[in-house]
Amino acid sequence: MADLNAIALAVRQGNRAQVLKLVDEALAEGVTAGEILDKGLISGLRTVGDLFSKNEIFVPEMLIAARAMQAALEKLKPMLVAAGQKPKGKVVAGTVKGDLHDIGKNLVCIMVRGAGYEVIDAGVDVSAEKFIAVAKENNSQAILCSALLTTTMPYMKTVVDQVKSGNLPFKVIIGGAPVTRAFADKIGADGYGADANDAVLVTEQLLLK
Amino acid sequence: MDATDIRAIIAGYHPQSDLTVLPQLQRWEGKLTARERYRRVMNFEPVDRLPNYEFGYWHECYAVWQSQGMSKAVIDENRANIYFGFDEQLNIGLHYGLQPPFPTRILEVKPDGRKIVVDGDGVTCEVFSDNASTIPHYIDWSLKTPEDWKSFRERLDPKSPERIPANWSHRIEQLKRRTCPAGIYFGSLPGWVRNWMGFEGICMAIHDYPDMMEDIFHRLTDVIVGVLERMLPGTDFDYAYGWEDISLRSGPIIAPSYFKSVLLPCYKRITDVLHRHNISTIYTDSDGDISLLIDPWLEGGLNTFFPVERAGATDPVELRKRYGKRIRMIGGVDKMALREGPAAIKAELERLAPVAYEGGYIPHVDHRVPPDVTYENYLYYLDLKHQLFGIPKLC
Repeated sequence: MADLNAIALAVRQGNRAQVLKLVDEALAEGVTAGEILDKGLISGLRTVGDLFSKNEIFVPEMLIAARAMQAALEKLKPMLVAAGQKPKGKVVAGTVKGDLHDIGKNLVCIMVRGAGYEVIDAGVDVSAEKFIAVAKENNSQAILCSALLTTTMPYMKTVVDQVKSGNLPFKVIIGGAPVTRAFADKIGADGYGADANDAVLVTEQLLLK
Repeated sequence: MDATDIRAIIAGYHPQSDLTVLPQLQRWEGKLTARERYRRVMNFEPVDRLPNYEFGYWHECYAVWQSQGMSKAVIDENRANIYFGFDEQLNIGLHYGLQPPFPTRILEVKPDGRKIVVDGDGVTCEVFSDNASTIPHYIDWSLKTPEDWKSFRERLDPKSPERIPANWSHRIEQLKRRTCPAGIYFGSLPGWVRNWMGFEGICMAIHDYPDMMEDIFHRLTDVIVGVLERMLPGTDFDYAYGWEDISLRSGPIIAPSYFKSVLLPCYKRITDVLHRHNISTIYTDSDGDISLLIDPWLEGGLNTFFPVERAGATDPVELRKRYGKRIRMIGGVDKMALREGPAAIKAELERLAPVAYEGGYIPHVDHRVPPDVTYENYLYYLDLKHQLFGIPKLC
């Protein structure tokens, strides 16, 4: 009998071969791609995120877990499309204008994608206009802004202001080394993610509202 | 050795420098030499006052602060050090990198002056033309597989003659007459490899190619130890310094368990050489939250941490509580306080003062000062730092 917990465990261990083997077995037994995604893959990566937040695992373990999940997701994608299953939501992520640091942004993309969202990576040095254009073009629900520098952090307010003044339907979630919850509140951001896992939790909270 | 001699040595390492700037702030008074003071502070012994150093500045600061009243002659860090009256110190670099480096080439020049280049590490990146302080935008990494590693390994020969600086014995003799502290560079292990593989690359490679990664770290250690063994005899350095930058705000990039099992033996080999040459203050530079790495670093023979970045959740007060006099620290003043203004600066320096008065700690800004700190705030910070730590016999 298919063991979705075993798939979650294999994701947690970053064991790509084992994840793919167990996914094949589950499919052969008639488990739907949607169930495998929700109860196996996403569940496994959620555990990874929790362990990362508690400093019980570190970035390498998180990355290989995400890679194992991604390999299975590629296999399941045609079945998910055929079954009409859509991603939980769509978000745009990028590092704000003037800032070329992409480590934090990339980790956020990996974890939010792993939680079942479609993530459009807008790259680095992203202007407010570009964030908004990409969000509109892709019918996104949220804009995730990253900054490493104290000098680029204030640009997040520009993004927030343009979204609000345009009365646009995008939640703006911010994070990065110098960014704090107090700063997020001060500039009127909708959410603040303290790390990549927190970005997932905040995205879920805001998009499920 | 007087200041002119020191500047001559500095100029020897920075041939472009023309240090004609005049000090705006007086050097803090004191009875000890800068060297005696540095050594005493790092040994928790009484001093006349604390050493006065700073990490440095974003390049953009010079133009911004000149518009706010700073002399237009201050255009780089050497000049800033003189202008602000800081104590002198000499950091002596050695060549542990790729020899020969990969051929550099320009692949594209964009209309706005940005260039796509392949650098000496073989990394393809986009660089700015205006000396902006931002990092390059990395496009492609040069070390991905064991096959790539072969060409790197050949370039990491500890015995390459190019690793020996010209006139080394003459420089040693000059250094012996110094009155300021001097440190010898010991490079980097995972930090360097991250520059070749990228952040995600090194993380994946630890799992995908564990043997290659161990070989990389041991080979780098061979180079560092080999060069130090050749360069250190006859010297009397006051400290040794390296860099890593392997922590994020949420903690280290690499698991402490991996760090302990693979990297700690490498650090031990390096610090054994340094200890044999009577260098007792050994530090590495890592931003971010380093708290989970301090134990393995201490076990590996390091004892000093820099720049103790507050935005990275590392705090001199907390570290002193946790480690007592087992650790020394340099830095730790929250740069965010300098952005906020005098009240925040005062609160931050007064919070750190008890740790500084205990010794084993040289307070300064916890990274390069960014240009969103006003010149007025920076001068206020320097003045208050002088009042708290720079008046003889207070410390």
